[in-house]
Amino acid sequence: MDYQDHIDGLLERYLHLLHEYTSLRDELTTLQTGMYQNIARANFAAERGLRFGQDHYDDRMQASRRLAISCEDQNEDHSDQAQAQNQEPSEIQDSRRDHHHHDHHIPRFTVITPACSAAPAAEDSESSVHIPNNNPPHHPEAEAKAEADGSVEQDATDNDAAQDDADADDDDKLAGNRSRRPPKRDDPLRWFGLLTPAPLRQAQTQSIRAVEHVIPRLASVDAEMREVEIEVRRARKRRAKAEATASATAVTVTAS
Amino acid sequence: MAASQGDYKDRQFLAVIGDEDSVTGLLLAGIGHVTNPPDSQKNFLVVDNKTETSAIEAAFDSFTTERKDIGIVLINQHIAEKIRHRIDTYTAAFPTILEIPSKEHPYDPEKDSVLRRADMF
Repeated sequence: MDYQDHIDGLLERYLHLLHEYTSLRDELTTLQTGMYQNIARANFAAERGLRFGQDHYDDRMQASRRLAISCEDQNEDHSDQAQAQNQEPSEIQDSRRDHHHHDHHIPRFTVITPACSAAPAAEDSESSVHIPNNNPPHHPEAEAKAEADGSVEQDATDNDAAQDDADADDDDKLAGNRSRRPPKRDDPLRWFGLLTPAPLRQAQTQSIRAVEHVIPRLASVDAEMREVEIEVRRARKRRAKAEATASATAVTVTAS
Repeated sequence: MAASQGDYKDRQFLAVIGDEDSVTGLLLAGIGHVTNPPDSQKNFLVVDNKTETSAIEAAFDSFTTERKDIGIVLINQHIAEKIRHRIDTYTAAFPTILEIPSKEHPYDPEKDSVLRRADMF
């Protein structure tokens, strides 16, 4: 019966994960549909013969959003649950402990912007001031809105002015900092020119949301589902083994 | 799914195999990366009607087996159908394969490898 409870608990968790997976799938579908529509609108409104596609990709592109994978120990997640199930037979607890000891590390995916992780490590105030200004992907929604308002050119002018001041301060120091800074024009929108159409910027916003929030979570949920599947199979095997042992014992008792 | 730290710590890129709009949209988010010369390996493949299945398989093998810096492979579902046998037999923990919809082929849950696995389970 305890084995069955354990399996039921795992299956319940699996159903929650499945629900989250399908919800994330719906969200991804919505975001991607919007993204495709916006790219189509941008292509439709573009000059004759111009298409926002692979012909414009930068052959030296560097990823401004990267993956960070960490493995979390499942023991931490279910420590409360384990404490609540102290009445379980020692056999189950032992097998579970043994199982955790082996390989219960569920990968967790997150998407980070390298500039974000580098910012706290910035050694001087100058670089920490300049990195956020020169890294458009940090606030794509705000940027898209600002560009729609026509204020981006003003911002760019301000940034350039601030940079000119910095240049005047100390050329040698700046030369050293340049190597640590993210590239000035690492925004993929720049591949398509300086004045990109609003639908393309909207497509970028939707794509960023999908890449930062939905896709890593989908991958994490998928990994967790695999882990639960393995756990359930193991639990079923243990149950079958226990049942076989119990029936063998019953036969022996009856015979004697 | 046992994964040592060495398996995943250097996996920092997402790879894409998709049609032009899918790849363009995802690259707009800043996930595109070309390694330094002389290799200059891209982490994406644009697939069109002329792309042969062998090229898709080669890219899939490159992203999943040869390269150790890819953590998630995104592939359009209709393209995944072309190499379904490869995807269904892929069991490694890293990189993770995620099928995504494309402009002309909406997401079909019945073809999704995760949901099919859940169905069998």
